[in-house]
Amino acid sequence: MSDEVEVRARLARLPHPPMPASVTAAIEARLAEERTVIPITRSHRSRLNWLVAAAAAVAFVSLVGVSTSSSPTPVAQTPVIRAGAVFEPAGFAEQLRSRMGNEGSSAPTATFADSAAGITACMNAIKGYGPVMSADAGTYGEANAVVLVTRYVGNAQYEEVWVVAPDCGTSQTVVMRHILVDVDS
Amino acid sequence: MTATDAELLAAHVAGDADAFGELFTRHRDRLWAVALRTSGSPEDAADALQEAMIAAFRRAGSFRGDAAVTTWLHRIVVNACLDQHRRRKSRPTTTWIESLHEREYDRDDVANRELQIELERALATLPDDQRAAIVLVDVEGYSVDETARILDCAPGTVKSRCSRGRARLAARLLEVRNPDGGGSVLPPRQGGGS
Repeated sequence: MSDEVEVRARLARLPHPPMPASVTAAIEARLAEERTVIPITRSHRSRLNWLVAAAAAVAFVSLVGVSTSSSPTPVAQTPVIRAGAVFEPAGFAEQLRSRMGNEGSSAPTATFADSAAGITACMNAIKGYGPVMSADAGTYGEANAVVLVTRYVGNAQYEEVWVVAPDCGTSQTVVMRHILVDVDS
Repeated sequence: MTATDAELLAAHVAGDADAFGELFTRHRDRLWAVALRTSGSPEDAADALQEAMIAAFRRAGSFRGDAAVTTWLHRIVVNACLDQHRRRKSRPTTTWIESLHEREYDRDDVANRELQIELERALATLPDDQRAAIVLVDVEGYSVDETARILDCAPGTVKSRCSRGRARLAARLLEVRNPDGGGSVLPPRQGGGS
């Protein structure tokens, strides 16, 4: 396969994440305003910012996979946020499995994982698409790190694990490790 | 019977309060995909897409029907995204410093996912005109002629931009597979295990 043909084939297979609920809500709200009288004294930009901010909670809910539906059988799943993790590069997958089995309790981590905006920024930086299932803050080898586990978009057989620096999503994003975990193994 | 895009747009112009919203709902995911990869960040894509939808809402009366409604919508979205991207170029960008990418399992899926990430990152670094052409033709599957109408340029220009962009992307994939250089084209990595 030539380089160009391979590039085209890979581009065609890039995932197509659906429009986030927060963006849909903001645009639909804005279009609803357009259908009424537009108050010309208000800045469109400030309204957009307000709408985006107001929708941030919805975005987080969407990101982390929490169902807000009034369905009688909601699949509620909040990300587990844990502090104090100690991971070593050797045998990492086994350590992770063990820790995932211990739900523990959510706790502040003093990292980006403490806020919805922080998790969103990190996911954007690492090109992660799947909903976040857990964030374990602590150390990975000698380094401070956060281990994010997300669902793998496109194949439920896998979960995606990212070991990132605690300031992921800010000026510099460091991905220390990135693996797919076969959930059936 | 489901209304066509053109019928919805005409209904909107005629005063139907719900028609444009239905048009937006029908095409929003594809418009989002284009905006996301043309803008380079979800935040910029959200801003640009909202700006574009409001522009389309207001300018619907100017649609002359000489192209598909989706082509018209995409043209507005791509232009808004490129404008946004030009305005934001001075903004600090996130720098990736990867210490390590490893494969825990000897599976093609893992290698493919890594290449996918590299490809997305490389795509974001292409010049605006090349990125927009590649997003529309290679990622979204539009024909060269339709992409030319969206980007308001000649089909030959689209082909040229795609070709130059693909060459850059291919070079990046080669670097990923062959980080020590050497210039030879190596076969795709097939996972390595740890």
